[in-house]
Amino acid sequence: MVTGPVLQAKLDLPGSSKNLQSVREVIESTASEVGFSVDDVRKIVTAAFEAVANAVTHGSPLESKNTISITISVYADKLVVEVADQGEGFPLNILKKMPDTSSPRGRGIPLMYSLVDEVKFENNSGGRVILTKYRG
Amino acid sequence: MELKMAITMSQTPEEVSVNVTGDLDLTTINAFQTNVEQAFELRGGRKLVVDLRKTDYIDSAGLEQLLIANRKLFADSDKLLVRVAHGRQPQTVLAVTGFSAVMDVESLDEA
Repeated sequence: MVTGPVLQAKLDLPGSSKNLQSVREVIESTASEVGFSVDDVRKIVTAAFEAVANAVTHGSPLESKNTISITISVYADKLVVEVADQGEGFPLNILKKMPDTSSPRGRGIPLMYSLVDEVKFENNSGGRVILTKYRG
Repeated sequence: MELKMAITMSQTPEEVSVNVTGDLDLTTINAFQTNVEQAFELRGGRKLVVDLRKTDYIDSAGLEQLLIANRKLFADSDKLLVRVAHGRQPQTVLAVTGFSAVMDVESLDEA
């Protein structure tokens, strides 16, 4: 039987938002409150922030006229963060592996893969990243 | 908006250090970049250090700047020295990215 989330928080930001620390604070407090370890909270927050930064940088062509929607869902065994934007979506050839250190850029998405258990990208009226971290 | 970050610069006969307190991310990266450029001007032949022991958070934009600084030092046959504190987020992120293979990363107690 599939059960729904025991707790859910939603946050909408304008695509031009520079107040991204607040996103980290909301995710950090939610994950901490439901008992994730300090190390897991740090990993979830870091991965989610990369998804939000990506949505600001690449997924909000109209800047403040676009909305970035963040949903944090807590289940019995996992925490899921969804970040949806109104951009063109993600390319098919997403780089999962950490690039060689000779390349300074391109670490945002590989960081997500390194820090949480599941990363999913969906293109449907914009881009959506779904990050899942299971309880230790 | 007030930045959740403060930067100081310190110098000894051996090193010039850029010390970051707070968040080193997309929203604060320009200030960091400016300070690193100043440190390059000041360093002479000294070691360039980025001290992240009081940094709460670093993202991929911050990592990018560390690599750019390191690449610039590589031209002088030198490497960046990054100090992180045990148990803080920058230590976790630097471990995941494997930066210690190309720059010096020291894990210490918080400053």
